[in-house]
Amino acid sequence: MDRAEDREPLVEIDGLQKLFDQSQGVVDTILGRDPQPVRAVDGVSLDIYQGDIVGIAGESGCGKTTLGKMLVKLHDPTEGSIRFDGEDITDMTREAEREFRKRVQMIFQDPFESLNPRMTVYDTVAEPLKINDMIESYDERRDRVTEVLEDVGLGPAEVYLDAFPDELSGGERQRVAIARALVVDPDFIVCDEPVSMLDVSIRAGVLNLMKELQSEYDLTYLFISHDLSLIRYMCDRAGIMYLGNMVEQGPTDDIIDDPKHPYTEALFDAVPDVELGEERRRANATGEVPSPRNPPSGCRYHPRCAHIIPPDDWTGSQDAFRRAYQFKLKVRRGDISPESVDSGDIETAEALVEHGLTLDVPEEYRTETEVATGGHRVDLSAVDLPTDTRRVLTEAAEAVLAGDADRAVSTLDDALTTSCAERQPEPQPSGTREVACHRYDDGGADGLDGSGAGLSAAPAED
Amino acid sequence: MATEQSDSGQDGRSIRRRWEPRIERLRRGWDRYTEHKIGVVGLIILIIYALWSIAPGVFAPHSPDWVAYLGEPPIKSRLTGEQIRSLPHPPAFGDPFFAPFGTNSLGNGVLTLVIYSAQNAMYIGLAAGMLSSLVGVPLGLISGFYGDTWIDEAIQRFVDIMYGLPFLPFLIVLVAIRGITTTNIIIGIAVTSWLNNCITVRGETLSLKERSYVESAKVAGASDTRIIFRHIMPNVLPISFVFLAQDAAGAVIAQASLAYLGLADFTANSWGLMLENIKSTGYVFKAWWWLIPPGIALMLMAASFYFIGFSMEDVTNPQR
Repeated sequence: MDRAEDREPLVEIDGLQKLFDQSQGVVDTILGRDPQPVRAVDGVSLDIYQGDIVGIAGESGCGKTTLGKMLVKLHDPTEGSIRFDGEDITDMTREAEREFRKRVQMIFQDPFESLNPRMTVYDTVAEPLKINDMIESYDERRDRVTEVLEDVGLGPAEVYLDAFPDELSGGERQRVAIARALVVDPDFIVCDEPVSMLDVSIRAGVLNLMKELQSEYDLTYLFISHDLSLIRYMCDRAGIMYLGNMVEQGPTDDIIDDPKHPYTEALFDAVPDVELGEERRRANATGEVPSPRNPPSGCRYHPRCAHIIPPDDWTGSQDAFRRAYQFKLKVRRGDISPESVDSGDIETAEALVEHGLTLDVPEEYRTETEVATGGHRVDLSAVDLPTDTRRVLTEAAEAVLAGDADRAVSTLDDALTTSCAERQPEPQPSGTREVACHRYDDGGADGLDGSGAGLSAAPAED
Repeated sequence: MATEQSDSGQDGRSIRRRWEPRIERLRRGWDRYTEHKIGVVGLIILIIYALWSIAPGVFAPHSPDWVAYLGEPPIKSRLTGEQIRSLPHPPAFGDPFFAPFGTNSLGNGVLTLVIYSAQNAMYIGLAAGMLSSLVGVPLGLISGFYGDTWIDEAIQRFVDIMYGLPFLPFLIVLVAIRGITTTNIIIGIAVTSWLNNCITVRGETLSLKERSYVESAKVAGASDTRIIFRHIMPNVLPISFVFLAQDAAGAVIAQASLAYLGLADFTANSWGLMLENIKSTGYVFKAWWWLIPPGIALMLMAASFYFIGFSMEDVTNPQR
């Protein structure tokens, strides 16, 4: 899979960043509020080699579409650079941009939106040719369009040439969109969820067509999708994005067989397996995706991470640290307060700690008491907490019960710290891949010596 | 020579091939238009008015200068006192003269005047409607396409200021300054009625420019001008058509209101002027045959524009 190494990359992305909503409204200016831009893409680096199909996966809102749009110059990056075939695309001359537009195309997600309803199929497909002055005569243009339409499986093309999009089915529309991208004979195509709006029954047809066209037209694809099985089917290399960061990238097979980043692992576990008889593992992650306006400090995944790294002097188990850290986050978010507990049986600080240490994760990662109480309470003896931490937690719980949430937060802030929250992990090469996680900071999965019992204390996984 | 001929023949064919799908589409649009009888009625009324304005002489029984008892100009004699006292004369058929809608106090045939006035109304309606579309649609397109920039901001603040102008007082001042001519009235109406056009088109453009076919055009390398006029405008035009019809109706009514207030070109025939005349001569409650026809003609013209606009909305925004 390392065939990429000896070739020149076609696209080089370096430290790419895109912030939206940087400008302020009048009211914000008057009130002196700082603008809080949406950090859609934040520090992504990626190389794409000629002839590869690179997949970008991630949840909705992780910035994968923004990344794709920057690659075709629909958005300009706020920071960082994109080089296409050695040339920086962020500030090109008119001439260079013209040349670039002929070589880079995009296929959009929704074929019902990506075709102008008032243009015939011929007009739609021929438009890039006309704009770029590629073929002068009408008849030659028509021949070229016919040829491409037949290449994408719309033959005989005469039937389609004069049709308007509203006369076509979803699959046919997407084929027209593909033809439009191919008509200029590009080198690189960004596909933004190209089949997600299509019926499942015709997806395979469109995907196979795209694979065939890749060899026929000598294309390089960037494939954006939330569907991991699709990435596995289509792509040679894959990148996993979370909240604007690229958390892991490498050969698709390696990533799928042995995900290294905790987020990748959770993402793959979240995909239902169709294979019968196999016990499915579910995603071991807590909470929801935070707002990209105000992302967490350090590693952006750390508030949800199952493998959060305890401090060096932590004497308890890693699981206990994760629970204690979740307790802190819950207090900070205001999720834990006497009123928020509905059953009313939590009156003592002890009970509140027991409640706060629970994890909202699938059953196989819970302790016995948690399963028995439906995730409402965890037995303190089952959690390997150091005594002084337990004392701090109780103290914080007392503060919460007394209605002083600020004191509780500051108590916990002092006691529970993690390197995950302090600095942002740089992508580290790890085997064939690059992983942005502090667990791989010194180049391998064995870099956990400092955190001692860390991984082993996590619920049985393998 | 032979090759040239075959080339032009090919050109002809390729042009036909290019336009065939559009003609087909037009035909389907027409089918949808005729689904509503109301639109067809509006179109028929408008066609009648159009014919009246193109060739009023064919439809009117007399010329507008015709005077009861005396006939067509050149008029050599004068009306007798008794004849003057019989004016406005109610509908008369053949004896002592032929005037199916009666006459006004000067002896002109009411039907004749109604038919001759259609031209003026059509002119004002279409000119004001088109003028306000010509101003409102491009400004709306530009404002929407450059939404959230200083261009948009400038245009929208200007629209806001224009909205502050009260319609009739503004028109009265304008006409008072520039003189009472039909052209000035059209300009006055257009200046105040392009605002709705602009705002609606802007809103539509704001939503259309987020469609991925616009992004797709950008990826293909299309210029802003091409995107605005080739991709956004065709999708906006149908709505502006609806507005054109409504503006036209509004203009006809506005012109009639102005004429009723005495702000009209008194040398031209118009329904508003007929109403103003009946008011100033004091026959409102006495000569119904003079009062009702211009009112109905006015109402039908406004209605026909509205009906057409209504049906156009169905053609351009089909909902199954």
